[in-house]
Amino acid sequence: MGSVAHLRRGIAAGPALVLLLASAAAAQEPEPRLGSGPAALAGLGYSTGGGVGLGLAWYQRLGQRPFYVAPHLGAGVKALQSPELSAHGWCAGAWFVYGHRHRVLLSADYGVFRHESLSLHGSFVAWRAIQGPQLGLGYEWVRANGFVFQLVPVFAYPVRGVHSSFERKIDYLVNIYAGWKIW
Amino acid sequence: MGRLVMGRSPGLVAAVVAVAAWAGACSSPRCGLVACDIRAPACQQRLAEVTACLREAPVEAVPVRVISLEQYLTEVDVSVRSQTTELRFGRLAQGLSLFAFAPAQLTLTDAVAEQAWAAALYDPDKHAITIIDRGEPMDSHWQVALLIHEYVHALQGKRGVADFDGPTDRDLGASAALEGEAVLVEDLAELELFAASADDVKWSEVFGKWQGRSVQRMVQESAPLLVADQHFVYPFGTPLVHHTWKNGGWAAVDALTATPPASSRQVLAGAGAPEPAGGPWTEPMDTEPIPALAPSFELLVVDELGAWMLEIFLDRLEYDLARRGASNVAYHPLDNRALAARLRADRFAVQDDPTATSAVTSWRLRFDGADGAQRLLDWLAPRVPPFLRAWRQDRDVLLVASNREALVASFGPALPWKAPPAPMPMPRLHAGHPVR
Repeated sequence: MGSVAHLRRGIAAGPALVLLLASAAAAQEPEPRLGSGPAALAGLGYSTGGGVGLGLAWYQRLGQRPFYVAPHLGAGVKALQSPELSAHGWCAGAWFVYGHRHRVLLSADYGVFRHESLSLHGSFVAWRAIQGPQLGLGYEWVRANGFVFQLVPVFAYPVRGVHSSFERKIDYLVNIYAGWKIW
Repeated sequence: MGRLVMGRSPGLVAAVVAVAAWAGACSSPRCGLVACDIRAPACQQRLAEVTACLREAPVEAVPVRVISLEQYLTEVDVSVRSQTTELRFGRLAQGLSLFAFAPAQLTLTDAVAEQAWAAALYDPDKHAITIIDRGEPMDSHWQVALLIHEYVHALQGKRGVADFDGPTDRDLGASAALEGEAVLVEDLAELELFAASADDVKWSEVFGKWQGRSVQRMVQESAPLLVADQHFVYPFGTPLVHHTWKNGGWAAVDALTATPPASSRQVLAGAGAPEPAGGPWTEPMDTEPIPALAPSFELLVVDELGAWMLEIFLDRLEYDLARRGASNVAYHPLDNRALAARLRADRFAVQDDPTATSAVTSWRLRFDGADGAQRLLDWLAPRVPPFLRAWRQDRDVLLVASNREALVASFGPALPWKAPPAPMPMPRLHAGHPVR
């Protein structure tokens, strides 16, 4: 899921926001779903172009403290500059989450995070996916009804699909997800 | 081990083999092309081999040198100044401006600086490639394709395909075939780098949009005559060669480049198209093609511009009127192509009297019939500026312009014409086959 929803730059204050929100807002509503269970999420965002996607995760609670490991898998599409070309991507990894309603989230993923497009004489005719490991630190909010929201700034390092030195740059992305923790 | 696994799970092994074969097909392009920095000799050697593979030709060893942009521009400057001088070029620009083919104030220095777009070139005289190094890595897919483009020119040199150096229109026709072949192989290389197939590309759309943009750029260029090759030979030459290759393979491309189109009109007609009126693509201008002026006038240029430049000239007249709100007819590119396609021969000349700073620019256009000439004359009548006169003689339309009102008044059917002493084509602002 991590690959398909990217918001880029401009949210450099992400980690600070995480701490602020996590420390604020004492619980005014019933406890969120704190047990282990699946979640379905949808994401959107921006890296080198806007994209949308869907993902599935399993939140596994470890011990008595509100600490979770959530392996997840996602796929999505990205509209390139040309409407005829719709690049797609996938991502797999794990989230490490701590907290009750407002949570700190560390994400470690591998997958597609960028697409290079081929323009022949001004027309887009093909694309190539850039893959690599992605590491992020962000914020997760879970409501009592199971609603989940994530905001995760991510650094991504290209290792596969890279052809030129220009493409071998570290990307800074922001992923935004919303979904439901099913139980 | 293999037998054991096969015996236990043949289905699994078959699946693994199929996946491995699929992965191999995806990750190993047909000619083994991978991106590399084209400034490195090992990369150059590899790309020479890939070019030969893509073009299905023997590998050609070509010297490659890497120079700075400053050195390249210095070399262009030296080359151009061996053909003309700053003063003479300024006088030529004054004459070209009468047909809106260049700004009257254009200097040779500015024109040379315009050549800074080149990234590499093949020099047919030295049979060598030059890479212009801007101090940054040159390993992007388009830069790799760029060197492959130049290697195709080297293969053409090996085949003995001549680099044409003559009238502009013939140069446009011949260069369209040469550059079209180089761009075709360049395109195949880029597609291979993206593991994409040429069969999946909607080429007619790609070429159509490209040509439309080129016409628009020529219409809006300040000095269209000096960049006519950039906006013609690539977007119009590539579809010509692509069509030839799709229908006849590389042997047909060999034949096309060995006997290239004789004019831009032939290129515009498309691969294998017959001449519309059933006649020749070009014919000699057997009448006197330039105005006979006072002895103080000096001939600066006499050239053949051809159908492409006629189309652009008409487009620019129409565009300029529409832009100034002086016409209620919307400008539509390509409207004038059918008319220009009837052009059989032409002579464009610039003469000037340096003592009086008087310039006279003329263009004699010969059509396939008197009706074609009359049609052009009718089209021009409400559109030409006051310093330009147009009239018809049989199949010819004669256009003459001057920056001196007194001279303009003397232009008309009574104006005598003469033969030029020798061909004097436009100065070439670049050497060899540069590419972006």
